Amino acid sequence: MKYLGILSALCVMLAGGCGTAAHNIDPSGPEALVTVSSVDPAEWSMVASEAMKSLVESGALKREDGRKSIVMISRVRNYTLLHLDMAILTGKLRQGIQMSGQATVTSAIGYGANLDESIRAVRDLENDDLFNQATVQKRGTVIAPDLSLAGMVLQQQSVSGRKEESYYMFHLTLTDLATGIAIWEKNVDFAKQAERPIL
Amino acid sequence: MRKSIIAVAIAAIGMLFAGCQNTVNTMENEEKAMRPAIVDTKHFVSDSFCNNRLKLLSFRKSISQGGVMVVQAELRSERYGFFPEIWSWWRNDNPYHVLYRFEWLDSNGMNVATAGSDWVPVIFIPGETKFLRGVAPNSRCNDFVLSVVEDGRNRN
Repeated sequence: MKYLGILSALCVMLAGGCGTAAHNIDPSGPEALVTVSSVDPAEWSMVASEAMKSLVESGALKREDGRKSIVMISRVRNYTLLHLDMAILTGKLRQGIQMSGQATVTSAIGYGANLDESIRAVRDLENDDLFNQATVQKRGTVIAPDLSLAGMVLQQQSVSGRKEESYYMFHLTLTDLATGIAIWEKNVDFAKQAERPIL
Repeated sequence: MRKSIIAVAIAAIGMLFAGCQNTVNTMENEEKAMRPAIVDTKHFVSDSFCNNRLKLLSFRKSISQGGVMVVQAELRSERYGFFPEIWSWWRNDNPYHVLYRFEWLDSNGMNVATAGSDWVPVIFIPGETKFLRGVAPNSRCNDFVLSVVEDGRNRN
């Protein structure tokens, strides 16, 4: 009976020792988790990286008159059944466009986190006597966008026996707002597979 | 005698498993029309296994329509043949998963972090040739570092 107690205590100590302490990892690095049921950090990075490489390489952001294009980040629709925060992708794309030197991004109009509501809100101060009216931003100064970046993500799931697979496709489009014509498009897709354990 | 039989049996089992693996055969035109600009590269190898498994066939560069530098590394998975295939079957490493990233430096040698600075997964079937492309984030970046690491995600 005494041995059984010691054995149980040893088992508990052993199981307790199997955990790892919290530690920082590179979000897209070799330590990160891969899941079938979601888009993991490495995949967000891959989609943003492939899209930005294609966009910058194509020259679609460049204007013939030498002025930098103004890009609005429109909606990237989520047609999957998952909760995906598209701001992860659009945030990386915004940064990439700004860094390209070929275009700049507007926060005055856009979707979700890409719209800064304060641009309109500060102009509503023009009737507020609390503020020095000389310091209030004037109407008619905000620059309208030339281009719109929009997209969508699709998912298809398949199950065969114990194997489960998810296919994801991101489609991004850059549209010339003057003509409505899509001047650049890019598909980035990937699939993930896992086999459930027997027990 | 008995030892010989065991050795033959082990070899036969190994050949059986290795034979089950698919490797890539390729064909290409022999006389090339292209005149690529070759990039002279300098290597730092800390993982000799990864270095042996992926052979660098070429490193080329060009200037894109957008006026930025584009580089392309042509890599081939060398994990074909009897022993590499047994080993990759044993390690469950077929196909071979790696992560790569391009980091770009501006004219002052300063690193410019972009969306492409993160690790990107890529999968090599044994014998497969793949082209890893890096595009400079802007026209001021003309120097780069390509890093390749074995993808250990979910294998820890």
